[in-house]
Amino acid sequence: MAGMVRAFGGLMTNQNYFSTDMEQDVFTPASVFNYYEPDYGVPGTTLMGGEFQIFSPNNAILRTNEVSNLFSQWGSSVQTYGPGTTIDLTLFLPLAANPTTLVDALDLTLTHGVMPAAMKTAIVNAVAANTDGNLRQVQLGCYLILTSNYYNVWH
Amino acid sequence: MIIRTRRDFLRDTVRTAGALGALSMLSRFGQMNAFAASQPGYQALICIFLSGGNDGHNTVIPISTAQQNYSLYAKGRQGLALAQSTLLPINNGNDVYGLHPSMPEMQTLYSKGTMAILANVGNLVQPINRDGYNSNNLAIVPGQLFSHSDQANQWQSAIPNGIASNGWGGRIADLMQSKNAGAVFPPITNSADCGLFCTGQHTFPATVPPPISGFPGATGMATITGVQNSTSPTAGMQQLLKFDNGLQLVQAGNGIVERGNSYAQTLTGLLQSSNITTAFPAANPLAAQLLTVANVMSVRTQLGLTRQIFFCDFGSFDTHGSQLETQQALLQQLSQAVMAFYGATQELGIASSVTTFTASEFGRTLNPSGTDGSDHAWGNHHFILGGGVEGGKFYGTFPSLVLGSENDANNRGTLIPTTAISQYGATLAQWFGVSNANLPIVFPNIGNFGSSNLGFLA
Repeated sequence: MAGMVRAFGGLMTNQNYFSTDMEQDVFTPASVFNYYEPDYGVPGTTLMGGEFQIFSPNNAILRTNEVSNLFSQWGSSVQTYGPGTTIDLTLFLPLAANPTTLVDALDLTLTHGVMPAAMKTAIVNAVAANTDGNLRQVQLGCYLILTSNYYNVWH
Repeated sequence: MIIRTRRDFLRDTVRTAGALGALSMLSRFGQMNAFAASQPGYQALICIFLSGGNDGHNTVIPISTAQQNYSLYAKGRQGLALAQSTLLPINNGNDVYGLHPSMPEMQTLYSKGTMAILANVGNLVQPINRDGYNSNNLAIVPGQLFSHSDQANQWQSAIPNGIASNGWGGRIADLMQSKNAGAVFPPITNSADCGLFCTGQHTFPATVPPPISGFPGATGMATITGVQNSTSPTAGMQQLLKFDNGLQLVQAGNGIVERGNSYAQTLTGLLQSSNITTAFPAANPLAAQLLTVANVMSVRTQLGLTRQIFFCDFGSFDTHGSQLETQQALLQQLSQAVMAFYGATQELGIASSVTTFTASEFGRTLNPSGTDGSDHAWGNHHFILGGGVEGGKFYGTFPSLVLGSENDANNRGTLIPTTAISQYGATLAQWFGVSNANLPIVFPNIGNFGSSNLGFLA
């Protein structure tokens, strides 16, 4: 959550409501071990992935919905979520005229410009299919990237 | 400025599946199978994990036994000793023990023969004595003893040294797949986040949290919120969930999202017909979890499950300070919750088919911490409850409470377990249907111990 907010100019402070929405307040973990163990084995694989310990099926849906609430629901390109935290999508609005350009920009902002081509194509197609205006297109691009497990794993 | 509160978020996330059907095509299960009204041989295991390390020394106390009396306990416990007059007496043959005074319900269950106590069970590579422990030989001593996270992992995986990627609950479920053929829901359910216990090689758990206070619904399961009243987000997400760039972690994440959505859609509608009338205590987080477990069990036929495993996480019992007050409240909640849950299993007519057991990453030192609490230790006492339990008596060997005795690892009343987790789990697994030949799959070190069945289940 912190990474998503910071990517669009927001700050993460202990005044953010959403810092506790996932019951994982960044500043007040329940123990010195934080919320997960580094050597947790990812279900169905032979890999270790500590973050997967808190990525239960239900938490995965909660996270998806949190992204929806943060990035996809509102009628303004600027949203404030508590003291010091403003998510500003305004700079991306003019880019929506060309979905490929928009998604390229979001790729640079969120996935360091290395988004796989197939993933980018899927998002461009979804953005192009949205006829609800440039704000909705930008929000949709953000939503699809931020809910993707490619983004999850990258971050 | 839009101000969102936690309550707003929760409201959004518990919207019903019916209103959010746009992603129903993500379901892996499709149409529900039709099942007969009754399923022969239903059995369920419920693990109550007392997180933080419950202090067993103040949970089960010797009063007058052939081995030792209350005075020895009081000497070791010092300021943490519970007054003898407050203990709830229970008999084990001719020996008299006392339960913590906040556990009258569990005293009743024990006295009626539906609850047993397993003494001094814990994490072991093989049987070990004080000299063996002091050898620091990692071939015979579990790794990272006294560490919360490591011991929780080892308890739940039954692998006392090395890194595990799954747990014994999951491995049991793997072996019982044939009993759940055609099921439309996972055989393992956890009501809070679960560690290794719930994950098998082929079995992944569903998380079914209790209902969120103030919101309707039989569970707190979330479904994906519709976005923008448009179909393009749904279509885009579907494509991305099928996106395969060869990264195993991405595929694992995609699978988790799909399962989360599928589980919620499968269960949410079914539980609307659940009607448990047994009263569960309010403001009791464990009771809320166990009521959810009972609700899920009530629709077991529709889910196509004849074997279910549940995991409830309860605590924190990490009482380095203020132990007397903290543990009193937690054990009261435990006692009241399991009594209500046992009543619910009776209401459902499955009391003899459901076995509930406690676990905890470790016990605590008999000797106080110096800050009104106790410190991380090792062996501990646990409870097994159910209609199939040969209750009203102790299993295992109750330890000497003499500081520095052969049962003590470090002169502080750190109990060296005399019964292994593997033996505890193997007894439960055999009752559940795991064959003797398959026990080493679930408990790799079971062969290091003399008995694989402790006898507390008929």
